[in-house]
Amino acid sequence: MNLLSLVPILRLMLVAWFLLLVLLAHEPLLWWAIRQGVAARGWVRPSVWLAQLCRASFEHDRRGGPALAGALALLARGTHDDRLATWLEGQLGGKGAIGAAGVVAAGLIAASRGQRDAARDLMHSASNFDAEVALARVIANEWLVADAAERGDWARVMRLGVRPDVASPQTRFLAFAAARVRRELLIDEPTATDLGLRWMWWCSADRRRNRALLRQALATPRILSSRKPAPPPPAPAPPPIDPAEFVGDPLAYAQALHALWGTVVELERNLTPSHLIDLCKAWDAAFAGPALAQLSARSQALTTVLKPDLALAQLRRTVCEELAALTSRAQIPLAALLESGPIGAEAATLLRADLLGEVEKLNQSLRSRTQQKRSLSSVEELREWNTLRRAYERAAALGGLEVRRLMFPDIHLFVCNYAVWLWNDRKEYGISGPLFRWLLAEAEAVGDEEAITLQRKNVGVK
Amino acid sequence: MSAPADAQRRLAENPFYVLGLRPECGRLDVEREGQKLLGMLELGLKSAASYMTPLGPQPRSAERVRTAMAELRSPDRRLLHEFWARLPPRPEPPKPPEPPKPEHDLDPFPDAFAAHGWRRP
Repeated sequence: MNLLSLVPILRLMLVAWFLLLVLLAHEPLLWWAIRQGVAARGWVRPSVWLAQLCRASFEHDRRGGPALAGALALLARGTHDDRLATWLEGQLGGKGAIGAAGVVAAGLIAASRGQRDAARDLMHSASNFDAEVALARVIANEWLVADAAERGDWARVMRLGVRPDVASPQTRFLAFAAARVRRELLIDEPTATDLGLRWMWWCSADRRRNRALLRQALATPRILSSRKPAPPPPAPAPPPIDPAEFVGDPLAYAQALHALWGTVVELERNLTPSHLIDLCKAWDAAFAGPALAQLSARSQALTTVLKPDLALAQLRRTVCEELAALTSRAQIPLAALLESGPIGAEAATLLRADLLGEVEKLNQSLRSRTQQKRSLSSVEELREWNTLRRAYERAAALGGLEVRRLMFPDIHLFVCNYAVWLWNDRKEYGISGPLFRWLLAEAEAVGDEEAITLQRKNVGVK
Repeated sequence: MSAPADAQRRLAENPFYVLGLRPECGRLDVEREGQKLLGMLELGLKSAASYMTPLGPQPRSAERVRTAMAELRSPDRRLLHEFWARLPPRPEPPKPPEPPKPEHDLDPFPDAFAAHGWRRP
């Protein structure tokens, strides 16, 4: 072979080698190349392998960084590939704690599986890690902003989109455009001029898809103060059942009101405490009326085995269970039920027991796992803790301070032991640190002096 | 704990509404009406294909009719169903009210993930 014919190949190899050296010397550039050139094509395994070259960027999260690149590639594929998702989760496993990148990777894998709630929790957890691996937190924030925008939760987009350190050009554009269209102000940010909006759109990730939003924003006049005109009163819409038609018959009236609230969409927005009190009082009137006498008469006519008072108790229990479920779905505090008479009080007891039971079950599970030192992967630990926290916070929101005080001693004892185990034995500082802070905030809220002292020591504040 | 969906199902699938009867009807009425509806359904008659409830029309099937007849044959079950069939059926209930939108609100952005460069949420 003529040696001269090898010269172009050698030159090409030299250029490729030079480019590789440049990329290795400047890791952000390498990461950019992996994300745009490999992950964007949905190549999961090559993304993971190449991202292992970004040693400095993921110094404290050697498993998380490559998994993050792989998770980005997984989401770039047209359809979810469960085999690849499982393989990626395997990359996250192993001894030692994972960092923000690993948590975000787990969040993206959950998102790819369609588990949006779990993904949301994990993305939020990423902000609990220190400023290390900023790019992971930027990706988490981008995902959260996209999730909020897709759901139409623009208030959230405006809040998250301009968060210092983690805002990206795309999230900033969405936040500023939303603020302009909604005629609202952003926190600590001026309103954007037309030129500013165009510039942000130019810098955004996908100008074609963002163009409609830009046009809508530019068509809205810029506001300089947060004062908004009073919204016009909503037009009254006809209800599916009009309980007013049955005012003369307490039982039919209660059933109509019950059916009405059972069919209302977006119950949490529409059912207010006073509506709930009205419903409970309607049922009190229905059961106080001739209900038992009517049931007795029908029972006799039908020759039932079921005693009329037992039938009534069964019906009453069904009503109370449904009232409790309505209250829970509408996120109305238990106090509203307690104030609304005997049926309301029975429903409140059922709901309270349900809320406490849920927290107790999760808390006991955490306790036994801590005692037996049965560890899970970092991501699973976060998931389990988030499930317990959500149940506790829901019970606290509905049950008020009384339920919060009732739950806190056990929660404090078991969660604190759990956090100590994570901190001392497993070095999971990214998970246990926020747990101590959460326990301190709860201890202060319920006024538990002993717990406050202990958690201040754990958190390191005086 | 029962969900509000149970309350809806209880009204929509109450045997009295399925058979088009009122709670005061006799046992023979239940059998007669049930057999008549089963025959009509077998012939594919349109008039038997749906029934009215307080929440509006519901599709009627032979299986639902047989279940309704069986439920009303048990005096104990019938007593409970009578309690929940207090409301008269309605022909066409209006749609549930839509919550009011703020004056200057934005619609959801279905391309939000794609605009960030992700093909899927």
